[in-house]
Amino acid sequence: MMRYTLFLIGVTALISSSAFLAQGQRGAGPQTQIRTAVYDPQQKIYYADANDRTVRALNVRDNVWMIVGAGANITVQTGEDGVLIVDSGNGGASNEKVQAILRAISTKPVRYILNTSFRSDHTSGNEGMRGAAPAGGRGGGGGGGGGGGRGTPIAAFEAVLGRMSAPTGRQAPTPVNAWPTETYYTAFHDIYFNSEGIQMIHIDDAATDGDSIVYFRRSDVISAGDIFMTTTYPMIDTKTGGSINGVIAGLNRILDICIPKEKQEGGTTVIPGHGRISDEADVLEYRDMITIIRDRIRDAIRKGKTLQEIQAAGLTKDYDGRYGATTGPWTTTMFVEAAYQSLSKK
Amino acid sequence: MKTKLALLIGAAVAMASVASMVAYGHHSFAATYDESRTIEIQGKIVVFQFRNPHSFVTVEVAGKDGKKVRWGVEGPGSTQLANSGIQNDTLRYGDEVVVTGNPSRTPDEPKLRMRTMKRPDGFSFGFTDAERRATEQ
Repeated sequence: MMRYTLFLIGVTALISSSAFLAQGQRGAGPQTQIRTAVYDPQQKIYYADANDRTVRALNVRDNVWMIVGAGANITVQTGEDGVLIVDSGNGGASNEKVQAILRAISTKPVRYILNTSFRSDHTSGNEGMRGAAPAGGRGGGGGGGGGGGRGTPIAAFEAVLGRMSAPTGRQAPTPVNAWPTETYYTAFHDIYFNSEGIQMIHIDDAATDGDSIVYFRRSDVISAGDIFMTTTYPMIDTKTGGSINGVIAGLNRILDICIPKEKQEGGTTVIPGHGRISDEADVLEYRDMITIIRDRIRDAIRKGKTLQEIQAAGLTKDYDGRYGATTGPWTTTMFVEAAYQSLSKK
Repeated sequence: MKTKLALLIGAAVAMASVASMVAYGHHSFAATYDESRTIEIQGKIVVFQFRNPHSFVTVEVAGKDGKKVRWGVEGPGSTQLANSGIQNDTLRYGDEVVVTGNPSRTPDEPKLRMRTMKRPDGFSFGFTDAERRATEQ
């Protein structure tokens, strides 16, 4: 009996020591430097890096944040279920900065990704974010870094999947792991996450043919995607089904949901696809501006004016100082052409 | 002693019953689909949900009047599909497929329990060995 007990102790010690050695070998390997976000308590902003302050997170309301500087604005909702993000930014180098901020905001992994558009500045981070690591633990799902992994659902309007993927045998423009896994083709898609009802609302043929706005019902926050931007005229892509009337319809839908706190200010908060945190008054001004320009261009088309004549007439001049551009990815000329094309369609 | 043994056996039986209830949580095919009939549809895949206990494929079929109808095609769970070599990216948005299956017991409901699926590039799936062989011909 004594011999048997000694044998058992010996075997246990052997197993323990080999496990300890294996642990030590793992620890001795090359260490990856994990970026840590810094917090500015005065401005209430998280910066991804103390030296590079371009990627940062602003608190919108309670557990809702807006990350800017990594492509299109990223809306973040945190809670017991994990982290939900609306859009995932440019991907690449900015992914790691966004993840540093997410680690600072929440100890949970990314469990849900919603895409408002197929555009690369909204979706290029999808693949990386599916593996976004929590602060101290290992998430489930088998993703890199212990995040939600391949199982993390990506929800979007069906046309987004169509534009990001390709049928079997053809080259897809984006990797498989970045594609939406949960698509909808009706007017709404409902999600319940972190004790909050979240509604994805499809807007037909707006900036593209696959746009959604996302409404956080308890937080009273709307993530508007590219239907609303405070930095430029709407980026209407007629080649992918966009139209100026669709953008106006989308802005009117946002205004239907918005309830201001007092004198058109405050209340429902709107996070634009690009630009600053806004409220109903900002959306209303933007809607009016686009409607006025739409009416001017439509009137010129009815009078038989050509695109060149309309461009030369300067129909956007009174708004160009605020939204116009002569260089860059989206110029005033491009906007007028897109509006003209979508209004000329029979 | 006998009472304790009886209690233990009772608890074990109760636990086994609960476990079997959980295992049978997903529905019976025969209750939903008419397994005595098989029909064929042809169209474009718009959704592929690779999951347990059953996977789902939504196929958009053009009707004679030009109207598009979405058929919900229910198939085996992801484990069974994976054993047949099918992964979550095997069936893609836009793939043209021919599907045979058992129709819904509710008249005119566009639902099928998948028996076979074929794609022009040679991909095929059969629910049973005989159906698999038939699709490969």
